[in-house]
Amino acid sequence: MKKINYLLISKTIEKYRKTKAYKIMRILLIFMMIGILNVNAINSYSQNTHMDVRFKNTSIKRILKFIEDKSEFYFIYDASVINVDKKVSVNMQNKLIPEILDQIFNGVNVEYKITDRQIALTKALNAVQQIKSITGIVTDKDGSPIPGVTVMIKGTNKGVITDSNGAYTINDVPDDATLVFSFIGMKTQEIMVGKQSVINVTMEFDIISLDEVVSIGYGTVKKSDMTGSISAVRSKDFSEAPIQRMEEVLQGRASGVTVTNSSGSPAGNIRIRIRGANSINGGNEPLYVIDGVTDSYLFKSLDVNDIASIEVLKDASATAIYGSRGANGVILVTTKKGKKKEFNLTFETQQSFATIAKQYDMLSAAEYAGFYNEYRRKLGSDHDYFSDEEIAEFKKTGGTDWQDLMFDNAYTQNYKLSVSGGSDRINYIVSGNIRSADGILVGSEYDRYNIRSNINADTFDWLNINFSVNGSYSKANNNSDNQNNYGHNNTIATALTYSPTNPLFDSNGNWVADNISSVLDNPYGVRIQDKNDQESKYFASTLKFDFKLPVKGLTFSILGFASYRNTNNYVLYSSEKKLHPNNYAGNWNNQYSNLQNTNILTYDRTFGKHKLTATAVAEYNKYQTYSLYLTANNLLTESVEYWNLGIGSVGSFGNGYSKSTLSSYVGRLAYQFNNKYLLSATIRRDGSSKFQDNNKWGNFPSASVAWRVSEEPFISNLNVFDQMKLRVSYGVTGNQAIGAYSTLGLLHRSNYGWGSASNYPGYWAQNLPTPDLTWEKTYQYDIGLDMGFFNNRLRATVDFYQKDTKDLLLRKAIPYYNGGGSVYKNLGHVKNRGYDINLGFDPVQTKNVKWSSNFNISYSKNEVIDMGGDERLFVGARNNTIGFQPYVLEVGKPMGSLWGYTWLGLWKTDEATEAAKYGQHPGDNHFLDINNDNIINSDDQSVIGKAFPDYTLGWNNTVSIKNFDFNLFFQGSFGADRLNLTRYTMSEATSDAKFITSKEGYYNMWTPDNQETNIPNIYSVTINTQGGSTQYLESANYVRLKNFSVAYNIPFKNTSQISNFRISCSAQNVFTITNYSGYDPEVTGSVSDILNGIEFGAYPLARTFTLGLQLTF
Amino acid sequence: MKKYSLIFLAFLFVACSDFLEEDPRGKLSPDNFFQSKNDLDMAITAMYYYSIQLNQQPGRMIYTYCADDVTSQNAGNKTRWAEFDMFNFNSGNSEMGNWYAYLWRTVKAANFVINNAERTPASEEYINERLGQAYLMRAYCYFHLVRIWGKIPIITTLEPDYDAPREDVAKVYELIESDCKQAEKMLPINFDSEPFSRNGINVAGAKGAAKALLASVYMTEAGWPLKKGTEYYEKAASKFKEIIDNESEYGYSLEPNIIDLTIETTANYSKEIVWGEFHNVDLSNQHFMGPRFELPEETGLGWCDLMPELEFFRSMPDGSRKDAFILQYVFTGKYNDDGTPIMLKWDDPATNQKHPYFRKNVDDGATWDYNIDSDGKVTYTNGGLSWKSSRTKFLFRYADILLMYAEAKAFGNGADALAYTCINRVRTRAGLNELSGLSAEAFKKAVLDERRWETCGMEGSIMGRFFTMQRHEILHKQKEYRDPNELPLNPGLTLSEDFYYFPIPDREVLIVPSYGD
Repeated sequence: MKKINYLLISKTIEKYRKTKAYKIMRILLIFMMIGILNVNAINSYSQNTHMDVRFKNTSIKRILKFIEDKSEFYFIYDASVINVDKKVSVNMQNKLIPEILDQIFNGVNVEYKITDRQIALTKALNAVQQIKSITGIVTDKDGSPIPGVTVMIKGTNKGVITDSNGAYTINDVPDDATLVFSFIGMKTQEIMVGKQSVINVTMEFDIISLDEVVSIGYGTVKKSDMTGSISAVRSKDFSEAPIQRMEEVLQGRASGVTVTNSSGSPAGNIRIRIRGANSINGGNEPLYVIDGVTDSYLFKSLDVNDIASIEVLKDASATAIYGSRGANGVILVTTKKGKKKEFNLTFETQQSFATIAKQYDMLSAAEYAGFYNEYRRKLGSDHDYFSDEEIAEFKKTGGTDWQDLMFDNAYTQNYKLSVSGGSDRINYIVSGNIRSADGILVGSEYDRYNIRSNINADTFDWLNINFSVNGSYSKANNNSDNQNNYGHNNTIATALTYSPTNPLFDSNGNWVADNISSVLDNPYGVRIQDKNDQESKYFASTLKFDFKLPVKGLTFSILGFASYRNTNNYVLYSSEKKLHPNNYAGNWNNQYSNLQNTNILTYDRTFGKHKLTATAVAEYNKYQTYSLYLTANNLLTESVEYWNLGIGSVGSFGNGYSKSTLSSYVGRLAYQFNNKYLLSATIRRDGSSKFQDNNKWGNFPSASVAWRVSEEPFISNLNVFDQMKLRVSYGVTGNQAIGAYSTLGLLHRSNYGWGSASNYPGYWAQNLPTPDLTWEKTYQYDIGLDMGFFNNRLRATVDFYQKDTKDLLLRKAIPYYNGGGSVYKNLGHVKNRGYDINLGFDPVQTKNVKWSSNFNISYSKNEVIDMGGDERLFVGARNNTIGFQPYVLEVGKPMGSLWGYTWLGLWKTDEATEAAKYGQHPGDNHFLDINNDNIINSDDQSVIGKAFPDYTLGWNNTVSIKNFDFNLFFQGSFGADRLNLTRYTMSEATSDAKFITSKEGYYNMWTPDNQETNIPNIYSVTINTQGGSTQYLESANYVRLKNFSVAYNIPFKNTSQISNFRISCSAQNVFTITNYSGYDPEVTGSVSDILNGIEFGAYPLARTFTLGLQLTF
Repeated sequence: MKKYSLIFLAFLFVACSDFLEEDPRGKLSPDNFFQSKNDLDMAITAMYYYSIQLNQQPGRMIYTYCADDVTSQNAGNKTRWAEFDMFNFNSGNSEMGNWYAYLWRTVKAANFVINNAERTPASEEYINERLGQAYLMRAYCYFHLVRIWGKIPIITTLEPDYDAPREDVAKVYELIESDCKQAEKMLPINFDSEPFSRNGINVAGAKGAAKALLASVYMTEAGWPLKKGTEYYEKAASKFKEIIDNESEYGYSLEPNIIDLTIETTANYSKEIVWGEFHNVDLSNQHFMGPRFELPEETGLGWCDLMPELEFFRSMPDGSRKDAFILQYVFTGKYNDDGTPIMLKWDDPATNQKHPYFRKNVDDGATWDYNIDSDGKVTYTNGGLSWKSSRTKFLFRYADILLMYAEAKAFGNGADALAYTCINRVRTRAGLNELSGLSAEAFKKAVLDERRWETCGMEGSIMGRFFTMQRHEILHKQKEYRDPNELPLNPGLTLSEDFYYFPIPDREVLIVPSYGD
């Protein structure tokens, strides 16, 4: 008689439903009696009962039922252990029960024990089998360890769960056993043990991706347990596109996030806004948190391939945990970690070739010269400016094509080497990255060198240590992209308005300045000879200790972070070859340090149907800046560029220091009942050095509830939804994005040289102390729905939100008579309303062909509700090209509104009488006369457009066919306007760009025979040209194919050293569908939320072709 | 459990109590300022920095376009000037807004000194030499404000007041007179060290400047709108006379060759400067933005923002002054075979504007040269003139002090011998004949014409042509003589506050709506 493992059976009780559990309770009771009394009953009934049992290919279950019906025997067994569905054939006549059972279970690994009329069936243990321990690591496709994976021996109740590093050890495993690896949201895998003692498993996401783990700030949560609104981007969502910059990862890939390239320069600024902009003066950059560290430069310095996942926290329940810095949303980045017991070496490279995507049609030199002669003749000149010989020469040589000179094909190289691996207790990843990028605007370059390492050690069972280091060096040359006025830095606009008849150099080899069209210095000379370089060195390191405390479910972690950044800006304004009349050079040095300490206590327990997670955090941040600068004039030689300011006369110099600190205490409670009702509440208390006395501290609470509706029978019975969860949240977040010392009313430095070339220091009370200033607060409601259909092959997330930002950190204007300027006050109200929709679908999922698609759309409506009593505020400086301030904030309008005249067309010949009332003539501009006083002046200006879109969308498709991968990524934006001043200055004679250079301006000009046009009659002296009008305001709607790529994974045998070899070929910005007439509807040269919407020589995005190679050993 | 965790955290991280205190290292705070002589000097320096922004860009002196000597084009970024040239006032005009704003900002910087100077631990004399400058500066700014906008608030403190009332013009003049008298009393005749004096002249406003300003204020009170008449003309004359009688002690004299007033190298520290606005091209935002402003577009370096009015140009008698002040030839950008530049007479149909140009502020003494020799041969070189220069703007020039004395007498008790001497000193230098024995009316006309020609263009004079026309109520009369080829004047232009004063700028009205009434 074999021994039965009673305990094994008892352990399974919980898993059974009521009837089954009842049955087992009965069994358990019996077995306990047996165990305790240790009585061997007499098997008299079984010794005397004979039966007829005849079945052909029938399930064991049915045969056992037959025996129970025909006799007094009854069977007890665990259906998960004994395969009673197995079909067998039995042919027994008048046989005792042991003989019959032997036949039924012939070849099946089952033992039976007969106790009187009871027959217990158990699984047999094979005595000859090897019993051993198996260890291994479970990771996801990207090599990140997955904690919490269940590893079971198939057919038994024996199992373990992987630890925080994805590692497991399971003892007493027989050779013929099968291990079952399961994790919510991942495909379950079964692996035969055989001779192996180490089994590492790579888990794949199930189509049902609702249950992946997401970061929520100071912790993680399963997506199905999430109560807030979070957009998640995984490395698989962007790995197919050769993205060079971190910010671009989010463009079109995360709902609720609007990413805009302000410039096409390789070091240009990128604007990221989460659910619109809240703050007029307080800053709207989201908070960047990288592996628990808040450092925006760390985010920007990362290589895209180092990213495992990015979460975007959108609603207040998600962001309130970041309190005073959460109002603009939070971007959480999790970087890749090394894998245990696996060594990988990956080399990848991308070689890109970029070219300008669109060009303006410009007049040729001969056309221009003829036009200029014609123009002068019509204005009364009696001789030609350009002789016939000169025009003939222009026809032959073509003159100077400035547009062609300014833009060049650009080549970019990117190399990355990464090594990862680990032993039992230590895993690591180290990588190095070199990028050398040229911009398409001549002279612009950007080089970056990056190293990164991340080491993880399980020292004791109760302590895990993580240490990471980041270093980067970058150099950007001539990337300046602040282009709003017609000026020295706006070389693109200058080039587009330069006469094509103007040669580059005169006979002495000096740069020639235009004397017909543009008042500015030679734009190509400025690109080639002036210098505007930035150098940046960055170092950041994090050390983190995770303790398991001696209370079940309680963990504690301490994180320390330090980063240091040193930037140098170098400028040379050259007078060689008479480019500019005087030269000038300067150096600006800034050092930034950021220190952070975070301490997190987490308690995580499940009690029956109740699941509880409590988190307490104490966090301290300290930021310091040191600055130094020096400029010099009239350098005696420029051969040393900006490296020897001593050879010039002293210009200006200065230094400075600033410090700000933040103390934070956070509590969060997440509670779940019955896997159906979810509740989360957070409170954060922040103290900021930027405010004074009692205003230093602010409290930021939030609460959210979620209801898994699909767990309710009335929904699950519909058989429509695989998942359905309703979420509601409300919370308060803050904004403290003002500079250190802003509230102290410190004296302002205003030096004056008293006419000499060196300054005397001057100070005065320009600013006022504002000790009452405190946080700007954003109150946000969110209601969201997560749904899954068709086996979760279609997934939808919809969120509606409203954000009310009040007590704005508003710069309240001071009357001019009190000295003008402005003072920070907590005044005003900005509202953002909108929705984010994310749709994921997998139209084709076969063995060889897989197509995954993700579509998202974000709508946001911004409105200024109140500005402390002011109806309208003009912001920024006057734009010289249009002669007034074009940027305006107006109650009832969105931030980023544009101000100007409404253009009604050109006066037609039959409107001559009406035009005369304005002193104008047919062919002149006709503007709306709002106050009907027959004078067109600033009283006739109003809000004419807005800089930011209503809708942004992204559609990402990944298709894999056998070894080929394809990616097709569309991205679009709708509802924004652009004031195209580039087109204005090219097609009309304006004050600083005095003649027409575009084909449109010449061939489409008003004449009595061509009245339906937009270009006024240049010969009229009453033309009333106004660039700041709807005449040059265009829609910036666009949809573009942002990325198209094809990759081929070369198959290798398992024995090969190479585990992956992939070649890819891709194109970015392949085409753009837009009615915008300029280079690019996306770029404006500005990242501001209130000074934006004018496109005037902005650096366009390039069309790029990339060849990529990835090799993994 | 909670208690346990809190104790645990508190134990580990006892934050220093001063962790959240601000540490404005290197910054100066108003609390600990005016603790030394140098603090007072720094406050004076800041005040002067703002005052030199006033005339830094000629286009900022928007009121000058209303006068009958200058005009612009009605196109592109020049419409902001053309609007005022035509009397189509526009309260949104950015240049007018800047002029208003910068004057008030300088008032604030002066108030900062006036309200705090006495805290400085220094001798009374030391403090007075500086306090006097602040009073002078405040009077200067209010004098501009009250003449351009009429009723304005009186602000003598630093705290913002969103309800400050607009005061009667007479009340503002009381403050201006009082400030001038304080300055006159406190300031020395000559400063003796840098930076207040340099190259033998006063860079900071000294007693002479205070007297000139007070005299100018009296003369203005005599005319429109207060019309205090003869008494105030005579008060003005005697105050001007205090300067003229002591010109050698004050160090003022006329530059012998008038061309030297137009060349940066000789003009910047001329003995003719009674009070100047001193610029420097090498320092950030301290340059004067002149040279290209006045030049024709055809040179390739000109912006053509400022041109003499045709009637004004014709009225100006030929002579060394006209040659020095006016540019009558336009460079075509092309050269003859012998390398000489091809120049066109200003009225050549092939020129863009068919206007002469000013050259008062152009010549930097180095890269630009223009000459007409006795045979009428024009030489022109342009070696890359910058749009920035170090030119000193003349707030008060001794030639005009002489002429203003003559004006005060002419409109007061009648021209005396000194009045004739004064006007003739200026005329002789201008290459004109001496006047004598004119009737009272003829002398009045002669002195007003002389001042129109002498201070034409945008030299920055506190008593420039616009204010003369306003005082004498002739601003609207240019309708009668303006050349028909100029931009058309507003047909409604009359003698009324609507045209003699400017509208309060839009931005101010947005903040203080009652100012729009």
